Amino acid sequence: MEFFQYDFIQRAFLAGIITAIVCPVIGSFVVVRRQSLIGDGLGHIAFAGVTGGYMLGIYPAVGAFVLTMIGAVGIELVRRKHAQFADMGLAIFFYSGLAMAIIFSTITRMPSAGLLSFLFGSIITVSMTDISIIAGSGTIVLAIVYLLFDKLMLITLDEDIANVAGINTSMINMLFSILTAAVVVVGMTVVGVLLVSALMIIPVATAHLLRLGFKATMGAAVAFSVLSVAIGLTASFYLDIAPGGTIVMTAVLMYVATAISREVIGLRAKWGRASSLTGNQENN
Amino acid sequence: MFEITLSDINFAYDHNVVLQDISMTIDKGDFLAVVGPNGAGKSTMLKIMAGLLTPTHGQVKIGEKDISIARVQGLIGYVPQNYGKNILGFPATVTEIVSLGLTLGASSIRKNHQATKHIISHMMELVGVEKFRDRRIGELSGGQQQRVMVAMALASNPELLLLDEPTSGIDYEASARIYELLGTLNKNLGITVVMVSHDIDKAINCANKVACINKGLCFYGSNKEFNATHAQARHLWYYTG
Repeated sequence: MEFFQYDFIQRAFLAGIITAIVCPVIGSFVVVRRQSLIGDGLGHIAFAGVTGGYMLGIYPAVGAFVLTMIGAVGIELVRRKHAQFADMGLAIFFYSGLAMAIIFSTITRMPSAGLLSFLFGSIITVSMTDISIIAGSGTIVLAIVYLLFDKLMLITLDEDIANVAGINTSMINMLFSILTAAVVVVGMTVVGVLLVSALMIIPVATAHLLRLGFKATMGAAVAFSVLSVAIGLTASFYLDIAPGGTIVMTAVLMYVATAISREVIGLRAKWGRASSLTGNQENN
Repeated sequence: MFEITLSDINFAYDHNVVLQDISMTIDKGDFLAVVGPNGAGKSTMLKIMAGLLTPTHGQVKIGEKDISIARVQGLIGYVPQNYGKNILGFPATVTEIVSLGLTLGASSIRKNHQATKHIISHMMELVGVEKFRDRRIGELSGGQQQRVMVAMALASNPELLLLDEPTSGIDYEASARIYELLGTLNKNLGITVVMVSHDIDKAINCANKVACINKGLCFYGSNKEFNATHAQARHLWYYTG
């Protein structure tokens, strides 16, 4: 593996694998809560934060962090008010973020190269400081999810049952929303919104096809996600294509391959049952 | 030992009065069937008893404790009517769902892994779902899912079990088995059960007390008393209010 000799590739793998572990853990809850587009919604708010920060003359990542946290709180408040239309709140914030980003970037004439790096990521250019930031914040996110795992799972299953049990569902929902925002904003500054949002959802969708339990689904999603990063980064190096795109497309291909395999296995089992039935009838 | 006391409960959504002057005492070990026509406020009353809704007037107490304290102490197991909205796609096995029940009650149980496994197995056995332990809950029938939800509620070792229409959308045979299960849990484990039901005949067969609600309390007493005034009560809750 000659390409592993390069320092930037080693750093890209490290950053990618940390992202690949953290994103599906959050995504496992996000998908069942029917908020699959939350990564995108928050990403666009963060995008507005980047351009807003640039406009106000503060470090863009700080602008992104502040605005994304405000967005996360807003999304949770709208979800709480209109629980049956959880995606509606997301859409409102998604469009608001995009509109603000356009306005701020137009006012400031922000260079498009900087914007594109936030959108599509620059995993190849991550520094050791970047890796320390995502490793540190990733560890905090995983530790909180571990501590609240059962409560989060119960709230995801039914908020009323959790409420009757005396669980502070409002506080935990808000914390989860903020955690999701933290993953998006930290991941965005390192690997880009596209990669963070996609790794939060696509590997989880693939793992769902395996019809396992909750913890096993989460484990399988992490495995699919890490594989996507490993294969995608390798392909990106040899094909000289942007890594964000190859990683996401690898994850999508895994989903398609798993879905087709499931169908084929299902059909073969069906044909097997049908032919054994026909054989039995002929013997009789 | 405790009793559940509802004192002068009133509830309204905006200006729409749903419950009016409901007062009753449910003794420890009672099995209360709450019956009444659609929109009579049965589920609202159950939610008030569960502490999910705050009455506009009145108070619910479990023993000497206010409902909010009883909730925190894990004394209440609750099986809502519409839990199914998330169940079909929920990627969790029966064992995982039942073990969530331990989140609801005494957290000390969770420290002992062996005890946790034993409780989960026992609960699944109790409600007759142990053979589905590794199946995803969404793959089970409505009746089996309901049993799993009851097992989850029981895993927290509650003193009061609240169920909202536990047999809605379930076929005749599965409904009969759910009622039988609840009757057994009430008798053998001494758990106080309050069950909202639209199926008056089956509900009063397994309950020892009946509350007939139609905004106000039309009838409250033993099922024997209810049977004695059955025709009159049926008329009351079908045609009044």
